[in-house]
Amino acid sequence: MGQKFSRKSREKTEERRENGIKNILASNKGSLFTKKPFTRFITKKVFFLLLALFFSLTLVFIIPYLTPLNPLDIIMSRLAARPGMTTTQIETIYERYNVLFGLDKPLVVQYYLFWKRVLTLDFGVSIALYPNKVMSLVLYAVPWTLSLIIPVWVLSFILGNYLGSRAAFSKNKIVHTFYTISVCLNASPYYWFGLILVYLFAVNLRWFPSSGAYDPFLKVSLNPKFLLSVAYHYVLPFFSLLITSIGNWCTGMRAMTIYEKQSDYVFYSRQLGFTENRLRSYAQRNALLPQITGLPIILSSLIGQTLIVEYVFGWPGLGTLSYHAIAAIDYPMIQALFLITVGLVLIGNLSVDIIYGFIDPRIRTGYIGG
Amino acid sequence: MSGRVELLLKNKKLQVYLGIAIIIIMLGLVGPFFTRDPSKILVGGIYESPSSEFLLGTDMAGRDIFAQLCNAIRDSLMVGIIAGFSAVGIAIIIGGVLAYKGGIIDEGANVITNVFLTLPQLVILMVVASLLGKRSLIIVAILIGLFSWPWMARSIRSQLLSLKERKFVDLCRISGKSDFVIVVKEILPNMLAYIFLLLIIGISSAVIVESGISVLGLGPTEGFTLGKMLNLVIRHEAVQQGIWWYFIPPGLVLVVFTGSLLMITAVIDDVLNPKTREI
Repeated sequence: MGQKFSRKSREKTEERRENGIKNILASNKGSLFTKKPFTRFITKKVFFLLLALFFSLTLVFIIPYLTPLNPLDIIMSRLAARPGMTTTQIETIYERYNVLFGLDKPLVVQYYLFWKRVLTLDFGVSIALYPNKVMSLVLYAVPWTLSLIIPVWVLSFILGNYLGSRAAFSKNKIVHTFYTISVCLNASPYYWFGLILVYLFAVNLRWFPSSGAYDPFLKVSLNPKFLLSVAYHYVLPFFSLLITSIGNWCTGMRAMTIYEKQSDYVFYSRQLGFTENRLRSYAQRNALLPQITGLPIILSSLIGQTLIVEYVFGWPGLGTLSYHAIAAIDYPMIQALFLITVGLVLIGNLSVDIIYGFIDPRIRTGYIGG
Repeated sequence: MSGRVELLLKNKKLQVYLGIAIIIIMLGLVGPFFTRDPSKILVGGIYESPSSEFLLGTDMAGRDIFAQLCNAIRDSLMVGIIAGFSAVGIAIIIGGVLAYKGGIIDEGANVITNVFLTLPQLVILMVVASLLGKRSLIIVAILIGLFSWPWMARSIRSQLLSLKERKFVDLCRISGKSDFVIVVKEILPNMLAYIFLLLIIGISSAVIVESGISVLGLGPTEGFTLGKMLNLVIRHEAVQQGIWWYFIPPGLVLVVFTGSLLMITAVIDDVLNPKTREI
C-alpha cells in the first residue's frame, strides 16, 4: 500500500507540478482579478463556501417536497392541539405563515421567498416555543454553543498533536498508554462518554451538576456569581467533548512525525548530537503543517458532536434547541438552525484558510492552489 | 496477496481484535433467536438489576435489556454495513471513475467532493431525518451512506492519480477498454487492501453516526439500535437514577466494537505498510 511511484511517473508528476507553477505564475501576471495570489486564494475559497451554503440550503428547501408531509398542516394541527388557542389566533398565524412561505404560490416563488427569509434572517415565530421569535431564540443559543465548541476545537488540536508527536518519538510506556486511550476514546461515542462522566461525577460523587448550564435560580447576566455557576456546569460537557476529540489528531500526527523522523535533516541533526526533544520539536513543526488543513473537517464533525452532547447535558445551545425544534417539527426553526450551524462551520473554515495562508508562505505566494 | 493475508493472520494483535469483533457480531446475529421479545413490556419488574434470569436486568417498562442489546447490535450492524458499502460505492464512482476521466469531469467531481466535505454531516443528517416521518432501517442507512463518502472519495482519488500513470493502464487504454472497466477491473484491484480499510472505517463510523442521530430520536422508527437504547436512557433519566446496567452495555458494545475495528485497520496498515512495519 505504500507510495510506490515508479521513477518515470515521479518525473512526470514533477514535470506537471512545474508546469502548474508556471501556469499559476503566468496567470498571476495576466488576469484582471488577481492582484495578489493570496487574495485569489481566498476568493476561490469564499466561492467554494458560498457554493456549499447554496447547495445545502437548497437541499433543505427541497426535502419537505419529497415527503408526503405538508409542514404547514403539521404546524397547524400542533397549534390547534395546544390548549388556550383561539380560532382567530390560529388563523392569524396561518395567514402569517402563508405570507412567509407562500405555500399557495408556484414553487419558484416559494424558492424566492425561502431565499428572502434566509437573507433577511426573518423566520417568523417559533412553533415549539411559541410565541418567541425564531431568530431571537437561535441567536440566544449561539454563544452557548460557541463557548463549548471553540475551546474544544483549539485545545484538542494542541493536546492531540503534542501527544501524537510524543508517541512517534518516545518509547515511554505512559505516553503510549495515553496515546492508545485517546485513539480508542476518539472512536468511542462522545455522548456515551458524557453519560459515564455524569454517572461518575454527578450521580455518584456529586461533584458536578448533571445537566443545565447555570443555577436556575440565578438570572442570566454577566455578574461573577452567574459566571461561576456557568463554569461549574461547564466542566462535564466540556471534558466529555475534549477528551474524545484529542484522538482526532494523534494518529495523523504520529504518522506524519514518523515520516519526518526518517528524513535527512533529522538523521543529520541526530548525528550532530541533538537531544531527542530538540529533534522532536523540529520534526513536529514540519509535521504540523498538513494537520492544520484537517481543522475545518474536524470542525464540521465537531459541531454535530457538540449538538448531541448539548442535548445529553441539557446545555441551552443550538443542540438542545434543535432537539425541541425537531420534536415539534418546527419547520422555520429547523431552517434557521441549519442556516446558522452551517454558517458557523463555513466561517470557521474560512478563518482556518486565512490563518494557513499566514503560516505557509507557499500559499501566500500562490505556489499551491489550495 | 495470499502471502500478505498469511502474514496478517499470524499477527497476534490482529487475532485478538478480530476475535473481539467476531464475538460481538455473533451476539447480534445469533442472540436474537434465543432471547425474549425485546419490546414486550413487564416481563420482569421495573429497573430490576441483573440476575441469572435477566442477564442485564430490565428497563423502566420491565423489558429485558439483554434482549434489547442483542437486537440493537444486529440492527446497528445492518445500518453500518449498508451505509459503509454504499459510501464506498459512491466514493469509488466519484473518486475513482470520474477522477480517471480527468479534465472538466474530474474538476466537477472534485468540487462536489469539496462541497460535501465542508458540510457538517451530522447536522444535515439530523435535518433530513427530522423531515422524514417514518424512517426504516434501510433508509437511515442509505442516508448515512449518502453523506459519508467525501473523504473516502478524496483519498481514493489521490491513490488513483498515482496509479493512473502506470504502464499497465496505458496498455489497457490501447486495447480499447472502457474507462469504467479500466478503473474497476484493472486499477482498483491494486488498491484492494486500501479499499478494504476504507470499508471497515466506513462501517464503524456509520455505526457511531447512526447511534448519534438515534440518541436524538432520529434513527429508525421501528426496533432497537444501540443509539436508541441510549436515547431511552437519556429520556427517562436512567443515569440520574443510577441504573448503570441500562446505559453501560450499549455504549460499551459500541466502544469495544468500533475500537476493535479501528485497531484491526491500524494493524493491517502497520503490517502491510513497509514504512511503519516494525519487526
